Amino acid sequence: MRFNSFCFSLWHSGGQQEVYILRVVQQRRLASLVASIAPFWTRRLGVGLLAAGFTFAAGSAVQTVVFAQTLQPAPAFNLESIDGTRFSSKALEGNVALVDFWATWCGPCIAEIPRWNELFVRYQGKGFVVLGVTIRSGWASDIRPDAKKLKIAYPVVVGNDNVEKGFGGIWGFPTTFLITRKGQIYKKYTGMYPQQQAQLEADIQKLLAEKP
Amino acid sequence: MIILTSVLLAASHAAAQTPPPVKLTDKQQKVLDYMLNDWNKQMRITGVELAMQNVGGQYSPDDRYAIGIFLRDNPRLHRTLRTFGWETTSLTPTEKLIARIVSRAEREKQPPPTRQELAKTLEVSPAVVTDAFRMLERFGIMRPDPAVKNLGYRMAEDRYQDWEGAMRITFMNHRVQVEGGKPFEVF
Repeated sequence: MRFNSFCFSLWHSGGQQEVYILRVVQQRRLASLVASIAPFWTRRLGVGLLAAGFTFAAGSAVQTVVFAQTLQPAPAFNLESIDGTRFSSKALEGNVALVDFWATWCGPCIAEIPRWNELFVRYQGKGFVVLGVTIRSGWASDIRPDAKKLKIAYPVVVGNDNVEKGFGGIWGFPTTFLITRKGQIYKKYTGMYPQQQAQLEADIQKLLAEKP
Repeated sequence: MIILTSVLLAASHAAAQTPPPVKLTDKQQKVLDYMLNDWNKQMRITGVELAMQNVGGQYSPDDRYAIGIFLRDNPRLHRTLRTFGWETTSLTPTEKLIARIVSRAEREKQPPPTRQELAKTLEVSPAVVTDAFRMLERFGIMRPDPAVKNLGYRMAEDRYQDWEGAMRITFMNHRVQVEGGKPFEVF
């Protein structure tokens, strides 16, 4: 039920509430993690307070889930594009790639599209690509008119079970991945929040500056 | 001649294996029409169970099964089916929760809870849990497996182990009722 509240809220609300809900979910996870690793005597002394304080302090940090320590390779895929062609993950090779998992009925996902368009245009030709992976939105023929209406400037494909699994599972919308030139998942951004654009752009610039 | 006979035999064999398309009775069709009309409204995803209640009259789990299979076999009927899948509209909340719990246990390689534990957790009677498993089996989502201790069931396909993600097999429609109106479900 918690997940449904999360998803429902993402769809219904504007920015701040989404961030808040995302934080609560992640803080609970972090709190339970802290509780599970704390020694028994610490728990008896009130690990709840300890965990709550820790997660409150870490609140802004956990908005973005980072796979920073050991980068994982992005999965290979070959998906149906909404323009009727196929899109292979090979097209991402050597580029910094922003892969956005979105749904046509997801309000925050739609709100992000102008941001992705902007980044796509700004860094086009500099080794940066954007790919929209559409999930839970029907067939390519269903998605095509929506993408046109939303003026999506970058390639859009239809996701499937395998690509979702390959990226570690998609548990909410929007979920965005940044992939290095070497084809490794650098970061996973869950949800939409105010600092996201600046954070993402800084990450993109950092990855573009790295040697291919 | 031999080739022709072989081809005909193979074709007849394939035809015998393919189940005939499900045809709905008039009263089942009423439910389907109700749902299709509902789904044309913004954010609506009223499922079979609630649609049967709203249409009124006597409906059984067999009716829900028949409509569910019809929806599964006819995704062209409505974008809602192509977007959220026939399972979301055809399973009851209890069935979805059971599928979620078992799916998660399998994915995490943990023993699933017993039927008694499921009944207690979901606050339903053991008979409801048994019925839910039976329906999940009929829909081909779970299959009997005596090797699974205290439960006797597992997910029918491995892919269902990863189906707990956003808006998948376990998605619970949100039930809404406006004063004076019939309840409906939204995503």
